[in-house]
Amino acid sequence: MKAILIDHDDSFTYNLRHWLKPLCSQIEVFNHQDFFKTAPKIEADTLVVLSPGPKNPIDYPQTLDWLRSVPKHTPVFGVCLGLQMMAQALEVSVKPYSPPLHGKKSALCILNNDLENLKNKKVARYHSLYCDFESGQNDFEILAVSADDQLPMWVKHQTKKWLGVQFHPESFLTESADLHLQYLNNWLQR
Amino acid sequence: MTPLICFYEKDLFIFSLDYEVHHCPAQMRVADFLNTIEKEFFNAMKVIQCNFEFDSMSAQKALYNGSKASVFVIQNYALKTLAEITAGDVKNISHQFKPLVSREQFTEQVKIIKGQIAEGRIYQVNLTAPLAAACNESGLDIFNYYQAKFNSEYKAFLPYENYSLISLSPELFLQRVKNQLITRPIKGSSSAEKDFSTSLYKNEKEEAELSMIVDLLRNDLNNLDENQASVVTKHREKMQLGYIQHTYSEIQVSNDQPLASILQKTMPGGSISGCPKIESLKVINELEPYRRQAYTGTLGWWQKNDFTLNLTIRTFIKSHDLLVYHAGCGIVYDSDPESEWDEFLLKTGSLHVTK
Repeated sequence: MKAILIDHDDSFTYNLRHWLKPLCSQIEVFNHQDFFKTAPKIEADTLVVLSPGPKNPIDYPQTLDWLRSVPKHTPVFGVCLGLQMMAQALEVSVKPYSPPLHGKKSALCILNNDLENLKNKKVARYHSLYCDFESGQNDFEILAVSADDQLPMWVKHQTKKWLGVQFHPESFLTESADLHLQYLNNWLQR
Repeated sequence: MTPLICFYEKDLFIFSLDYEVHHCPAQMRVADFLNTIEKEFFNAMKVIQCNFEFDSMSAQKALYNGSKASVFVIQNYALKTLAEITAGDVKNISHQFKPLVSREQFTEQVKIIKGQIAEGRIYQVNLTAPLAAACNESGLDIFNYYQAKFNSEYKAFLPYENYSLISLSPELFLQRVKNQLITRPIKGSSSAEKDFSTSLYKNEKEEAELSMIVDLLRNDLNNLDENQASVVTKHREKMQLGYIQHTYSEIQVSNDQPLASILQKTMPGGSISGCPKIESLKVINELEPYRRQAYTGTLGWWQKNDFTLNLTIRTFIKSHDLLVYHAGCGIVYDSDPESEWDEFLLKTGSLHVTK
C-alpha cells in the first residue's frame, strides 16, 4: 500500500511517517500548500493521511474543499486536526475544548468490538479543539472515547472510506501503537 | 591573541591561541557556508556557532552586531581542565542586571500565548527576554568569574572581533559519535531547594512540557532519514545544577549525513522554540522585541564527522560596555503568568537582578 501524507505545518509529521511505515511500502510527504499546487494523482491503492497541525480546520480551506470533493471510496485517515477537518468538511461543529490538553494521556473506552484489544490503552493527546458529533445529524460512528472525559478518540464515517483519531498514535506516549496501526490496516482491508 | 575555550569531553576543554574565524556572509545560506567550511577544513578542529534565527530574517532589534553563523578554524590547541585554564587571580566582579522586558510586559505575553493555545494555534512556546548590565571587565574575566557559578557541562568562551560570547550551558543539542546522533532536551525547572519528586517528577505540567518536546525532537530526527527511526533512550531524568534542577530526556538516531543537512532540519532546537515549531517561531517573532542571536542557537566543536554542540542557553554576550544575558521559560496552557516570571528570575541564578 502507498500513502500520501499531507503535512499541515506540524511538528509530528515525521513521527506519523515512521508509525505508518510497517503498513506502507512508500510514503510521500507533501506540505499542504504544495499538495494543492501540484495536485498529484491519487491512485486507487493509495491511502491519504491528513496530519495534525496548529490552528483551526477553517484555516485550511483547500483541505476542506478537497475533502468535500474526494471520491467516497478514496481511503482517508485523519489525525487530530486531520479528523477535525473531516468533521468540519461535513458540517460537524469543531469547538474549543477547555482546558486544552497537550502532552497528556487518557485511557481508551471501547464502543466497537473491532477495537477490543485497545481497551484501557493510554493514548497521547495534543488538542485545544474537539469535534462535537452530537451537534447535528451526521454519519460518523464513534468507535472509542477517552475514559476520563468521554471525548471521541477513534471515529469512522459510515458511508465514506474515512477514519480518524483525535489522539496521536505516533506519539511515544501512546501505548501499543502497533495495535492502533493494526486496526487501521484491518479497516483498509475491509 | 585572546584564547578560545570550548568544552570537548568530560572535564577537558579545547584551549587555543592559534585560530582563524570565518563568518557566514549575510546573503549566503548557513548550510552552504558550513558545507564550504567542511570541504576546505574537514580534518581541522573547528568551533562553530549558529544563531537561533539561522537563515530567517527578522525585524526585531539586535543587541549587538554579529554574523548569523561563524566557524573558528583551529590550527593548534591543547586539551586542558578548567582549573588549568582559569588558574591565577579571578577578579571578584559584580554586575547589576536589569531585565529589558518588564514584569508587566512578560506576564502579558504569557497571557497572550495562553489565549493562542486555547484557540489551537500552538501547544507550547518558549518565551525569553534579555537582561543587561553595565560592565568594564574583559570577556575573559567574565568567563573566569561566572564559570565557577554555573554548574554546567558545555562551557565555552568565543572571542570575536567586537564582542565575546561566554556560554555556560548545561544542555546538549546535538552530538555525533560513530554515526550515532544524540540530543538531550531539558524541560521542567524548579529551585534546587524544592523536593524533586513533588516539584518536578510528579508534576503533570512539567511532564507534559517535556513529553511534547520529546515528540517534537523525535520528529526532527525522524525527518533526517526515512530509513532511520529515532529512539527515546532516557525520559524525565534528573539534572541537578546547584541553584536549579531540571528534568531532561535523551533521543538517539543513527545518522551519517553532513552536519549542515542535520542543522537545516533541526534548527532552532525544539526545547527553546515551541510546538508546533513553525507556528511557535512566528509567535516568538511577534512577541519578543529583541532578536535572540547566539542565545538559544547552538555552538560547539566539530572535527571530521564528529561534533558536540550545546544549546546555547545560560549565556553572556560582552559587547562594548554592555553585558547581556537571557532567560526564558516554556509556556503551556497551565502556566501561571506570575510563576513563569519567577521561573524567568530563577534562571538568572546568582546574577544580581533589579526586580
